[in-house]
Amino acid sequence: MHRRTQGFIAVLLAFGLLAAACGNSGDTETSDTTTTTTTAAPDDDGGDDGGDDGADDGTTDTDGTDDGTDGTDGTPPAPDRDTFVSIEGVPGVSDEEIAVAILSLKEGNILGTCILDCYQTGIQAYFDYQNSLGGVFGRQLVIGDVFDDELVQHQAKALEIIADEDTFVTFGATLNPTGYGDLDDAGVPTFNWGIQAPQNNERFNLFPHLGVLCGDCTGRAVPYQMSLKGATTAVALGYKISPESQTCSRTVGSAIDFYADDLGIATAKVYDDLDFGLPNGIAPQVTEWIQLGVDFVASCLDLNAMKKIAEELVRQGVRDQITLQHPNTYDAAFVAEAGDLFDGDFVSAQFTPFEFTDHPQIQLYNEWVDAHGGQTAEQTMIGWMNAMLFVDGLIATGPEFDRASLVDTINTEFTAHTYGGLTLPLDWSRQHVAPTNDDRLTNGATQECTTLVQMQGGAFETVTDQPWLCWPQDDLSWQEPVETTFD
Amino acid sequence: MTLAFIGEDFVRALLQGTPPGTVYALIGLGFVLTYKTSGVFNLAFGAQAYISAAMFFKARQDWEWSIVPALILSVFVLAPAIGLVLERLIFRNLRTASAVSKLVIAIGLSVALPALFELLASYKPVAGRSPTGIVPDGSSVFYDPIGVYPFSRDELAQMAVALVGMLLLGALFRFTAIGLAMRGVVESPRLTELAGIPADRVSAFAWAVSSSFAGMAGVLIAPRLPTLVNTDFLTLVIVAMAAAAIGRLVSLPRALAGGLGLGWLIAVSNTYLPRWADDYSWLEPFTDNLTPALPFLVLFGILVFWPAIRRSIDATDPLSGVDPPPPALASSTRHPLLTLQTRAFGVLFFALVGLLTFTQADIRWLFLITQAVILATIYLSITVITGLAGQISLCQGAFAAIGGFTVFQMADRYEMSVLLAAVIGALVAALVGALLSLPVLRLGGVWLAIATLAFAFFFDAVMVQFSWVGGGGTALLSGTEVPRPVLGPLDFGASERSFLALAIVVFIIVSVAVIQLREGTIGRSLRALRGSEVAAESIGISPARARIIAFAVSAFIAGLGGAMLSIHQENVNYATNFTPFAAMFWLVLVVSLSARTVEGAGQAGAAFALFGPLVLEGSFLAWILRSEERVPDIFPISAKWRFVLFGLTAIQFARHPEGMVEFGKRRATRKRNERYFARDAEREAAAQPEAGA
Repeated sequence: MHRRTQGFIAVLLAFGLLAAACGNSGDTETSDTTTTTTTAAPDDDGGDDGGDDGADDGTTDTDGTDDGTDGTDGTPPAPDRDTFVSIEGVPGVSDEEIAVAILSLKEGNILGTCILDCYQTGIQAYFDYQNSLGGVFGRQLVIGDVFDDELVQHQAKALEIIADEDTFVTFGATLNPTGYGDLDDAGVPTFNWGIQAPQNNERFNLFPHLGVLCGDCTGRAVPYQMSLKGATTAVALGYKISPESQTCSRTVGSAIDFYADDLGIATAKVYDDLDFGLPNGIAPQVTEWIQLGVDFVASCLDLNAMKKIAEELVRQGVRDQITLQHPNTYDAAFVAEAGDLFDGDFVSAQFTPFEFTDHPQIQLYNEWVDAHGGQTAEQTMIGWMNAMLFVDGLIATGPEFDRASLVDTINTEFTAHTYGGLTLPLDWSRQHVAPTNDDRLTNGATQECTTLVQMQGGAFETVTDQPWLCWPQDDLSWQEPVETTFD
Repeated sequence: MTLAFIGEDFVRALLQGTPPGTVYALIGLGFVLTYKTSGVFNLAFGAQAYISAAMFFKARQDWEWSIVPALILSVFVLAPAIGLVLERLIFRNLRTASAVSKLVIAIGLSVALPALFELLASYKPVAGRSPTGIVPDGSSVFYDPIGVYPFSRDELAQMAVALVGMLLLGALFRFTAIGLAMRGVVESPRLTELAGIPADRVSAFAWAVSSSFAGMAGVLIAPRLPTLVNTDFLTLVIVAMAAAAIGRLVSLPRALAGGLGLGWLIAVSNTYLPRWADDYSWLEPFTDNLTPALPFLVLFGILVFWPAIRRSIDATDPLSGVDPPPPALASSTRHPLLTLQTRAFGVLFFALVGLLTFTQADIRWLFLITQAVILATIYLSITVITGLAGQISLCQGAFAAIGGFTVFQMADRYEMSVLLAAVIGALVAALVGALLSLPVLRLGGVWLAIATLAFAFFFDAVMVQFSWVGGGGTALLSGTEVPRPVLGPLDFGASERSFLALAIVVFIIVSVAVIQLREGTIGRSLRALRGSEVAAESIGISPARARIIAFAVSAFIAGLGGAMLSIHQENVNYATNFTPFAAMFWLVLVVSLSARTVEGAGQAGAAFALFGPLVLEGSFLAWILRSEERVPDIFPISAKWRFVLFGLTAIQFARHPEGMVEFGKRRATRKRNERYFARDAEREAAAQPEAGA
């Protein structure tokens, strides 16, 4: 062997031996890391000390929907929001304004959906509304920096936010949030579109809009939709490339079988291995559905794939016989474009649907988003909700606030926050950790709730009188849902 | 289950496979057409198709044009215009360039063209706004002639164009003078000119025709896509390569049959495999993974097991096998004084940059600089396989991902030291690289590149999904998280600076190893093989051994770099870091700058990680102007310009295969050498009379 080659191998061997003699960061210092995160984490006892913890908590005025009344928001009575105290050394906070950052996705959005622009519109609209009330603690709320993560730059942009130290909190909505860990480690409160459980799980400075979600919990929404339609035989669809989508399809399939005896329904097959975007179409599968007598499709796919499936159902002449359940199609422009393709299909919105136009928070949202010239879109509402939790938390923290106290306040005192009735109550003292199917209550919501709208003629229609359908979380036996509102 | 039932299912599966098969056939025909008329294995075909489809879409839906003018604009004006521009500015000068050079340029174009179009036309995909086809109500009116499976008008139009296109193009090549001339220009432009045929005009016509076909294919394919996105076209092109390969890049009917066959194969497997798996559970792993893997397995299988395919390329390249050895590196021809000056400058420069970095850089810049250093390490793998061995590998991203996933698995399952896991990951990648090299060794040139691309897509579509690779349920709960290492008292998780220092150390070690390799037996063997394989064998060099080692070493380096990148980001982040498209961009970057030197890899790493933040976002300008407020409003410039600039830089590869940086260094070195050597000569001349006296 040539001497240089020997040298090359020797260098690599030496490197290997050196590497073998070492450990990993955090192996022996877990307690240090925990200490860092728990400065902002909820108390182990559920946040009883100093905070309120239930439906009987006093309600704040900040959402503008229930002035002077107690409610179910789980937020403490608000201090005087006009009190001004000069603060130094808090990033993004001056005597005149509180600046926030947005880290979202525009360039490189493979789904083609409106994310950054719509999300920013929602935040700006809510800030406009709050500023019209005089701002918070004598300061105006402003969007300082807006970052486009271009799908693959999230971590670098998150670090830029941390390094710049010129914004108080961060708002995030993206598909590939690789930088959430850094923001959490740096103690930056980050309110986000919480569709990614792994990136939000056990990170107590992050506030996904619905808390950290359970990936494998048996849910009753899909079996209920089947019973509504009188459907008996379902298939569940998931993408092979996405563990979330794959697990979702298996979970939905199991849930249908779980209530098989009660509702006379069954899962004919779970397709958890579909290629992203269905590049080869879905024709053979649809043919198989017809042969299996399928009349309901429970999906964990994106909205573009749902359109492809609906078109294939039309082609094979069974569109009228098979109902589609859409998880991600609450997009008015998309559905309008599709015309009557989705007639009779179900969609679940992540918040009180826009179609409940009498809902005070929806009215407020419409008023301010319209004033801002924005569109009524799911992502806009997520921005609005994220901004609302931030402002609610800020006001509850009091005029001498900083990042840690803001996080601490939300994590200890916001035990039943509903975004002014837009969602079921969230308990931030518990819901930073993903619940599991075996233990749904410790870190999950006290009820299992869903919304339901139907598509007709390229638009959404309500199915229920109240926006939410709820089941008890501690009793999985079949029962009809209770129509609920969280106003 | 009756036989008749099986028969109907089978026929239905064939019919269902026909529309996607037609799409593959259209692209396969386009590949063959471009190759026959230009000699270019045109990986940018998808980009050209996408541009026409997006133009048609914009004209129809945004400008509300009717079908005919939109079609004329996108297919008969824009598409041939792009072809003519490419021919005039790029490929006219490359007729005698190697097939590999043309491939690299095509890869660069596939990166640059879509981004350039989107910037110029302000095109953005919108969810659910499906492109419409070239016939009214194309997607909503169906015909079912035999009562088994209906076709839409759009699909019938696709089939008709594919069939008629094949017939017309076949007639063009077989029965017309211009067809013969086009093929003649590809084979020997000088000979055709001697025969009085204007080679330039024929070549321009050929590019206009093939580009129009690409445009037509794009417009026809688009209605199958719910949202018009460039990456879908790239994936389709990779899949359709199998069809072109079945046609050996020269046969139009075989390309058509290959495309249809592929569509049928996928549909039949989608129909029957799941049923068989219901009866035989041991089939389940195959049913889960075979369908997405099929196109890449077919492509890979054709390349590896069909000897005729290798000969088809050789037959059209009269200079194949006679690749002059690359010229000596500029650094090896420098005057000793210049070498001293260069090294002194280098030490000073890096000391200054290092000082600034370690004392002034904030967490963001530390992250970016560390990323640049680690990417430079990965790029050294391209230095080995492309710069030294002269082979184009498009699966370096997969090798890097293997390193990253190994670290994740070892740390997650066994709580192993990540540095040890990184070395194991690199060794696993090396093993995979060596195994991969065994079947593809004989391919060489373009086919080797395509085989590695097939492997990259196979890894992306299949391997990443396995829980023992990509994490599965573990990834669902916590992502593919990777901890930082601890080395004695040094905790690399506690300080970004310490991790940067570690990354620099790894880069230096790998750089030294690569230089050792380059200057050692293997490096010299590889250089000899690039010159003449037969001559090299005659002096006892084993091509197989040398190339296997090159592949394995290259994969080892990529795996090590991938592991370091995952440790740095504390997550594998496969979709962010290691996709086939990312790896194609890596190659473009490295060969554009300098594929043969460590400096080239370093500069490519810096370009990838720092060009956007420094240049496009205006940070460098703000630093010069001493204020962010003074930076003009045009900043930040769209990140797409990065793809445009580096993609177009690859065009220079044919003229300067050593890369732009090495070319610049060589030119600068030559000028200074002349001065220094002239001074030496003067001194010697002055000394001689004195000595004589």
